Amino acid sequence: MLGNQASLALVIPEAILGATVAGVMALGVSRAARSRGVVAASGSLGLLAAMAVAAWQAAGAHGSVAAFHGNVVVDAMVSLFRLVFFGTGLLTLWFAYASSEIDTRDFADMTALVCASVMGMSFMAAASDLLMMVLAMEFVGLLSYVLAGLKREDQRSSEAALKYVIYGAGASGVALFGMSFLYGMAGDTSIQAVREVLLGGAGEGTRQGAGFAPLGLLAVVMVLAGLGYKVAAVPFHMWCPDVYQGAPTPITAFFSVAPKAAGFALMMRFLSLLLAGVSSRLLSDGLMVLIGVVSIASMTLGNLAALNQRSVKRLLAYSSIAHAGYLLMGVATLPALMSATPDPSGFRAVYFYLVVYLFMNLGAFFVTSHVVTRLGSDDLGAFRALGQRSPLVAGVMAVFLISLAGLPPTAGFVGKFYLFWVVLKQGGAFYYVLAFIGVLNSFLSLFYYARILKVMYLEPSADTRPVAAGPLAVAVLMALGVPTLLFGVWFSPLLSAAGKVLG
Amino acid sequence: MVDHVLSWMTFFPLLAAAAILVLPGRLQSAFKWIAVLGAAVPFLLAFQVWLGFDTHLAADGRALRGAAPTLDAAAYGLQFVERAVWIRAFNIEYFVGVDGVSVSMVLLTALVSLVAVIASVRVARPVEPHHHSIAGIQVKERAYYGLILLLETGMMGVFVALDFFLFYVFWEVMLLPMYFLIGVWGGPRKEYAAIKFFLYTLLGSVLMLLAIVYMYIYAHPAHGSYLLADGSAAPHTFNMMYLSYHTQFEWVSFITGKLLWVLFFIGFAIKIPMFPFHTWLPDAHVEAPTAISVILAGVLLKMGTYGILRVNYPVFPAETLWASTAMAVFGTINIVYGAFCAMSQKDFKSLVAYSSISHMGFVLLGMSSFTQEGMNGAVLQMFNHGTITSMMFILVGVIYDRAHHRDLAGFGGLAKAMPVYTGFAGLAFMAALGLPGLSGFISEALVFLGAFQTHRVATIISASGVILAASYVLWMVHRVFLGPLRKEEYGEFSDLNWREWLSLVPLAIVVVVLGFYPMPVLDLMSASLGALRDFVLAAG
Repeated sequence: MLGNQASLALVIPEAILGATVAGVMALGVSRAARSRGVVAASGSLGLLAAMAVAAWQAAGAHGSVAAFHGNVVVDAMVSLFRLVFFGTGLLTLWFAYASSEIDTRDFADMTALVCASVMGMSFMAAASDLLMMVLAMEFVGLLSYVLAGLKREDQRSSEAALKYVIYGAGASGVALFGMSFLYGMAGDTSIQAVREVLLGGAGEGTRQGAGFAPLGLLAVVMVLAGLGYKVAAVPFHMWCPDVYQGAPTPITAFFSVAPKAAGFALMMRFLSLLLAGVSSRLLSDGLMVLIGVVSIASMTLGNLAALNQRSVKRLLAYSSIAHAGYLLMGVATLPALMSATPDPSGFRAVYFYLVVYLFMNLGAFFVTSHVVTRLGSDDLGAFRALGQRSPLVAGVMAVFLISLAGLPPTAGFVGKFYLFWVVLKQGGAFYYVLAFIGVLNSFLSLFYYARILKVMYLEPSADTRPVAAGPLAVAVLMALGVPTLLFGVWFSPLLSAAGKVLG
Repeated sequence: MVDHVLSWMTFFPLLAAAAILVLPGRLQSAFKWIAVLGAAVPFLLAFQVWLGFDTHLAADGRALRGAAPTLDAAAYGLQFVERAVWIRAFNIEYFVGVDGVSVSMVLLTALVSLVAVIASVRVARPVEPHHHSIAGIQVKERAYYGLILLLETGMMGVFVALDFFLFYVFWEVMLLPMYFLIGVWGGPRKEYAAIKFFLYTLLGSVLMLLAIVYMYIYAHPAHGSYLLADGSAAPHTFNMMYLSYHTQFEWVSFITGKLLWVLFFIGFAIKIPMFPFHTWLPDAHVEAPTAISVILAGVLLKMGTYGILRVNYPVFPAETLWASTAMAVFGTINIVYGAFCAMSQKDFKSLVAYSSISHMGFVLLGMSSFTQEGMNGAVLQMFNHGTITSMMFILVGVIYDRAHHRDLAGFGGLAKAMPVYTGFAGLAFMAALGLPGLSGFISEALVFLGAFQTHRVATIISASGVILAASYVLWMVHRVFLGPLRKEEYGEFSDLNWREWLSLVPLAIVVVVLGFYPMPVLDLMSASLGALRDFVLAAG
């Protein structure tokens, strides 16, 4: 366990981001804030530097190190998730730069908020102490509320922020309440200490070990409820469509990927620290069924609700709820992690899918943002004949949609394939049913993704003027579209990266 | 002679599609010729495969059953094999090759694709009046040829892939080009037809995906261990040959061989299309442009029956025997029901579409017989139906281009105006009704000969399909070609132009030659099918 000073070297990426936030805020009150370019460039620079350090650390990571007196653990998983968070932040900046929805006077604030919030997320992925979990979650949450309300004159945006706050506060309250049980069991906020109680080691109370399982289950369920809100899983999803629709599109893109990834990172971190090797039938079966049912509910409800949406942002919001469901299938393999020979392959599949999801979902949102900027609406009608008006944008959008639907030869197919593989590998009727409902859902999802394809290519538009795409837009599209295709046919590197999660 | 001939056949169309995609718009007039080239090269390479194919090589399934997995492709009856590790972590390989079953389908794909591209050379001009802009035309022509070539890559890939993952990728890659080709260039109800086709097929294939993943996890080698292309041992495999001949499955809870058999079968049956999964076909065929109908009927339907022979038969031989009666019954329903539907159609194209359902029923019936004649007849029927139906769809397209309608009741006396056209039509439709001397007769006769030994009642009922075929074909000929000219303007219709000649003649030659002498195709498949039959029967 490292002390504070010795730990500093492990959080260089976060330190860089802290400095970037300070720098951008300073820029924000100076004349330079009138130029979005300067702000975007300095924000990007900070994020790129942080990513470079994180990538370097991920490549050299061996085992895990408990840092800051056991408040956080730093391992390959943290570094890998840092890349996801920072990458999303970076792309969000570029989206926002290209978008007309973010005012220039807000641009510096937004940059600072995004950088700070991805910094908080990397602490979510690293938290190994209940207190640290809460602090990181709340830090990210608070910044998100502000980001959602960035368009101050827009009522929808304000409504989104308010909804986000209220739901967020409720969810955090429940999670905190659950954590208080865990604290009560162990008399310590360290997750490791709680695990020892569940394993049957020293505890404060008179009842030992397995006797704590029922209380432990209740507490974990309450914490998962708080995290379910972060990842927008049913039944904690109600905020999602309204917030996604109300927030400025680049921010929506950010919300759809980064907090979800952070929620999954924290969920995986928390569950693996708390339950690794804990052999309690009640806990393993209870959580398996619970997470499995939430997963089924999320994908089914998300997909069904997406079927009839006219607003593409709202449609993608429901699609992201469905994707939370697919990802939860991987988390539902938790019993494998709790066995005597812990097998984290389910969690690795979740990481794999999150990376794929980053590219395809950000891509779909970027195209939507592009359409909103150029044509002023995110209604399906605005996408009419995009195939002729902007062949490149529509073509890449088609790739993203196909990938979201999980069809080969795209990365989305490989991600789903990996998830189904880990679920079927567990064996047992429950997992077969889960996988079966999973594939039926990915079939169902094609209905609405294909609807966008249909509108783009098959429906004529009264307005046939070309929709221009500038060099920045083309660069971002390529940065997102090429990996979406490439990881569909050549995914070994991504697989080996995912293999380092909880390795 | 070209090395890696199957890879070239599969990916050359993709290269041509990429070339079309990146070429500047001012070279637009060259797109169609690049597309012709993209389809002609695989066609020429098909001759190399045909001539170089050793017809005596076949897998001895029973011997393989008791042996350990090997890297020796010849032991599995495979030829022109290319094999390399693709994704090591999942033991996925790039593994292509052909045996007697797939080689005929590869040849058919090469032929039909070339014919379809030639048949579209003119058609690809914009059909909708609101696309007047130059940019629109460019995009559309570019997209059309790009998609049709991508489709050829997908089809070819399905027939040569021997790794399940690769197979599935190719299987799904075909869906989107088809969706767009029907949806953009199709008839009045194109959007509905396109999405119906897409969703139907996808439903089948996601079920198949589950079965594939299950097999990957729960299959264990009966002897020795699975090998990757570089000789290293692998605990799991997607290798179709290993899964067929060297595998013991571990069945967990309610998952059994029968369930997996059914999952695969439904996935393939939708493609055939087998009753009651056939409803997408009339919509898709009727709305698709001519060339796409040709590919749909000529090649895509065969993927269903090919998949059953490639997956269900060798991987689950005992379950296949268990289901053989059901297959025969469904085959019979297809034959009779398809024929009755065809008879009642008012639209020329839907008549041909329903006749496809009827003719694919013969394939199912023949396959389910487990006799040498029946199985040879089934695969020969796949080949023959591919050529005959392609001709019929081109012929329907020819008249639609001139009359701008396909209403059977609206024609009459076309034989006077278009004698050459009528000649070709006579040939194609007589072949379809199974006239002796033309290719359709031989395969149907073989199917009956084989099936009668196993499924007597079903065969007797199916035989009525021939009578029904004669009635809907002759009634159609009567209404369209004979009698007095129904409208003045029909008299001014020009006969076939060079493009139509070029697309019909190769098919007509195949139909006539195989009608007299089917051995060139029968020889290809005979040994492999015999071995497959022995292997399945040994499981009983």
